[in-house]
Amino acid sequence: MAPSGEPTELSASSISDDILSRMPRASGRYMAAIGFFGAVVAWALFAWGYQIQNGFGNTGLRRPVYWGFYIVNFVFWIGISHAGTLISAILRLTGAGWRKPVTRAAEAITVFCLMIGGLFPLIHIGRVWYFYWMIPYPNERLLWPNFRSPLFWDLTAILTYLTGSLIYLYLPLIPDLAEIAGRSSGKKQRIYRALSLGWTGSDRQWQALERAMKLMAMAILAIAVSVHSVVAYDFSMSIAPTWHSTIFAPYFVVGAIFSGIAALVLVMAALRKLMGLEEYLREEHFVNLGKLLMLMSLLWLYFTFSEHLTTWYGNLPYEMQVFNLREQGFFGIVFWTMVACNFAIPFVLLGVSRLRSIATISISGATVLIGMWLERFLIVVPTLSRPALPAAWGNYAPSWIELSITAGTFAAMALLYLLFVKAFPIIAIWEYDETIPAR
Amino acid sequence: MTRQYLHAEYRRPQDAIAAIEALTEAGFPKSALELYSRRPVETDPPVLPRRSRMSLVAVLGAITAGSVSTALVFWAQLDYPLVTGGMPITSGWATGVVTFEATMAGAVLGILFMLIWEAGLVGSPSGAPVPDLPEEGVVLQVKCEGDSAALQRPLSDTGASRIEAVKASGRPGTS
Amino acid sequence: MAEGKRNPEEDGSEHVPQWAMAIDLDRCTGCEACVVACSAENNVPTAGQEQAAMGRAKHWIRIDRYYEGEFPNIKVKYRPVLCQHCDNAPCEPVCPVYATYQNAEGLNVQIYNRCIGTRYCANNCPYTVRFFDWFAPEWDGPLDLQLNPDVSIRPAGVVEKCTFCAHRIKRAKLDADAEDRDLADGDVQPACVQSCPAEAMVFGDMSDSHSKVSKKIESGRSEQLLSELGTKPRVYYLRKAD
Repeated sequence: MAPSGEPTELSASSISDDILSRMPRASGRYMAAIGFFGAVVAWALFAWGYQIQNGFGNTGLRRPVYWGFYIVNFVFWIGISHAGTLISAILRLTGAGWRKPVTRAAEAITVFCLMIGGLFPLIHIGRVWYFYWMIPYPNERLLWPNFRSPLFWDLTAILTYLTGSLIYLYLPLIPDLAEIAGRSSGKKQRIYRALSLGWTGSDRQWQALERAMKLMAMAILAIAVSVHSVVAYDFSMSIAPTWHSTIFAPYFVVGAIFSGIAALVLVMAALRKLMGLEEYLREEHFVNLGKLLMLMSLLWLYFTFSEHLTTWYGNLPYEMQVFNLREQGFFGIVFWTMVACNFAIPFVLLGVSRLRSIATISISGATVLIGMWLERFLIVVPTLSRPALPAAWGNYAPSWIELSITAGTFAAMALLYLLFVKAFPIIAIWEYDETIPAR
Repeated sequence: MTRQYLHAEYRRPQDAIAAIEALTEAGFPKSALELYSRRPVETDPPVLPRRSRMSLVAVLGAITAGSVSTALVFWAQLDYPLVTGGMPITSGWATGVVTFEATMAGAVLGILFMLIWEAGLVGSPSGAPVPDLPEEGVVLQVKCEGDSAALQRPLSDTGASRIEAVKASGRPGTS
Repeated sequence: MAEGKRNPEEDGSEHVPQWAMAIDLDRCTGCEACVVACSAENNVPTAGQEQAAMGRAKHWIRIDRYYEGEFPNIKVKYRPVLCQHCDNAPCEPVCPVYATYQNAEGLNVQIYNRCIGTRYCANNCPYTVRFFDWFAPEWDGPLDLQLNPDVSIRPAGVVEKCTFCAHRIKRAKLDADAEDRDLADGDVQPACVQSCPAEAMVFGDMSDSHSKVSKKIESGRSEQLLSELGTKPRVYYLRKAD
C-alpha cells in the first residue's frame, strides 16, 4: 500500500460503484448490531423516564455536587463534535488533499455528537418539561430569558452549531445523493432525487457549491471555537474555586479538538474494518491524524500544566482545597490515569516512529477519549465537592441512572452512525474523485 | 424563431474547455454556455465565470441577525429591568456571546439561501433541458436561437464525441 | 415619611426598607433552635435518614461548627449560615430564566414557579445555602399536619432557600397598613430570630440608622462571611476581635 498517490486506477463510475457497493446491507450481523445498540438506547431512555417520573433523587447527585455525570457527558460530547470542524474546515481551507476520504466521517461525528450532547442539558435540569422557558419568545409570562446566563449562551451556541454543522454535512452530500438517485429506481430513486434538491451537475451548481463550502468552512470554524468557549464559560463565569479561570475557554477548545481527533481516528478504524474501506482510509490518513493528535496532546499538556501551576503557585486557600483533593486519594488516581491516557501513552505510541501504525494510532485515540472524559470529570466533581465553607463539603457517586444514560449515549452514537452509513456514502464520492483538468 | 439547445459530449473536460474558448473567440456569449458533469470541472479562474453575491449576502445576513438579536436583547432587558447580581441592566460584555452566535447563524443561513438561489436548486428551474450525464466526461450545453448548423463545426472540431439538438422544454415565463 | 397606605415600590418618595440581619457569634450557643423553627415555619420537607446521609437534607439555616485547638483544650465555635441575601449575588446572573433576582428591599428572591432546576445558582453560591428538591415534598407524621399556609410548598425539581421569611415581612406590612402606621423596628421577625433563646440574631432595616440591626452592624464587631469574594452579604456576623 503506497503511502501516497491514488491506490487504484478506477474510473469515475467505478469509484462510485465501489463506494456505493460498500454501504452495508440489512444483513443479520447489521440488524443484530442495530438491535443491540437500540436496546441500550431504549434502556437509557427508560432510565431518563424513571428519573423524570420518580424524582431526581434517584440519581447520585447531592448537595453540594449539583452537577455530575450529566455535565461531564455534556462537555465530553460537545467536545468530540469538534472533530468534523477541525478536520473538514481547516483542511478544506488550507487545501489539504488528504482530507477527502475523511471529511464526511468527521462531519457526521459532529452532527451526531451535537445531537447527543445537546440532550444533556435537558436530562440534567430538574423540570425538563419547562425547558422551553429558556427560549426567547413573547409569552404569557411576560418574561424574557436571562441573556446574561451562560446557560442561555449555551442554547444559542449549540443551536447555531447544530444548524451550521447540519448544513455543512448536507451540502457536500447533495451531488452524492443525485448520484445515488441516478443509479437506483422506484421509491428509492424518488427519495434520493428529492433529497438532492434538483441537483443537475451543471457548472453553475458546482461553482455555487464550492463557494458555499468555502464560506461555510470559515463560518463553522468560528462557530466551533465559540461553542466550546461557551461551554467553558459555564464554568469560568462562576466563582467556584478553580473554575473561575481566564484560560478555560482556550483550554476547553484545545481539549475539544484533541478528543474530536481521537474520536475520528476510532470511527475511521471501525469503518475501515467493518465496511472494508482499506483502499480509501489508508495508513497515510491515520498517520496524518496521528500527528495532529500528537500536536494536540502536547498543547493539552501545556494548558493543563499552566492551569495547575498557576493554581498551586497562587496558593489561594479555597483553590488549594480543590487542588489537593484532585491530586490525592481517589481523584489522584483518576488524575494520573488522565495524564497517562492523554499524554504518556499517546506520546510513546505516536512519537516513536517504529511503533506508529493504524493499530497504535487507534489505541491512542481510545486512551485519549478515556482521558478526556476523566479530565471533564476532574473539572466538574472535585470543585463542587469542596465549596469554600468546609461545613458544606460532600462527595458524589453516580447511581444506575447516570451510568445507564452515559452508556446509552455511546450506544446512540453507534446507532446513529450505523444508520447513517447505511443510507449515505461515508466517503464523499465526488470530492474523492475530483476531475482536475490540465490547464 | 425557435430556441434549441445543443448538447455536445466530451470525453475529456479539457476538450470542452477548448470548445468554450473556440466559441468565445467566435463571439459567442458565455452566458449561453453551460457545462454538466458528475464531477466539478475545476479551473482557476473558472472557465465560465459567474458573478456571485454569496459572500455579500453572508455578510448582510450576519449583520442583520447580529443587530436584530442584540436589539432584542437590549429591548427585552430594558422592558423588564431586573438588576441581577449588581450587574447593569444592559451590558455589552454579558450579551456579546448572544450577538456573536446570532451573527454567525445569520451568515450560515445567508450562505444556505444563496446556494439554493445561485445553484437554482429547490423551486427555481432555469428552463434549460438537463442532459443525461455520461459516466465519463462532460456535456457542453449551448443555447442557440434559430439555426444551429454554424455551431456544429467548432463543437466537433474540439473533439465532441456526440452532438445532439434538444428543443427547449418551452415552459412559459422561462428564458 | 408619608402615610403607609401606598406601595413603596411604586412610589419613589416612599422609604424602602433595606432588610439585613446581624448574628452575634459570641452569643450563639449552637442550640439549633433556629434550624427547627425555620424548618417548621417554611414547610421545609424532611428527607429521611437514608437520604439525609446521602446529602439530601434541607436546612435553610444551618449551624456550622468549627473546632479550634487540640484535644482536650478544644474550643467549639458555631456559625449559623443562611442565605446571605447578597447585594452582589453570584447566584442571580447565572440563572437562564430569571428565577432568582434582587428585589427593591434587598432580598434575594427565589421564584419557585419560574425555576427549571439547572442548579447553576446552587453551584455558584459560595455559602452553599441553596437546596434542590430531589423529590416531591414529604413529611414524616405528624409534621405533615402543621404546614404553614403562608408559605408555598416547593414542587420536585426546583431550587429553594431562605427567604428572610418574606411572608412575615408581608404580614407585618399589612398589619401596619391596617393600623395606618409605618413599620416600626422589630415588627418583622423571621422565625430564626424569634426563636433564638440567646437573642443572638437581630433583623431589621439597615437603611434606618436608629434600628437595632444598624447599631449592631456599626458596632465595630461586625464582619461579613467570605467578604473577600465581594458578594456584599446582607447578613453580618458579630464577634469580639481576636
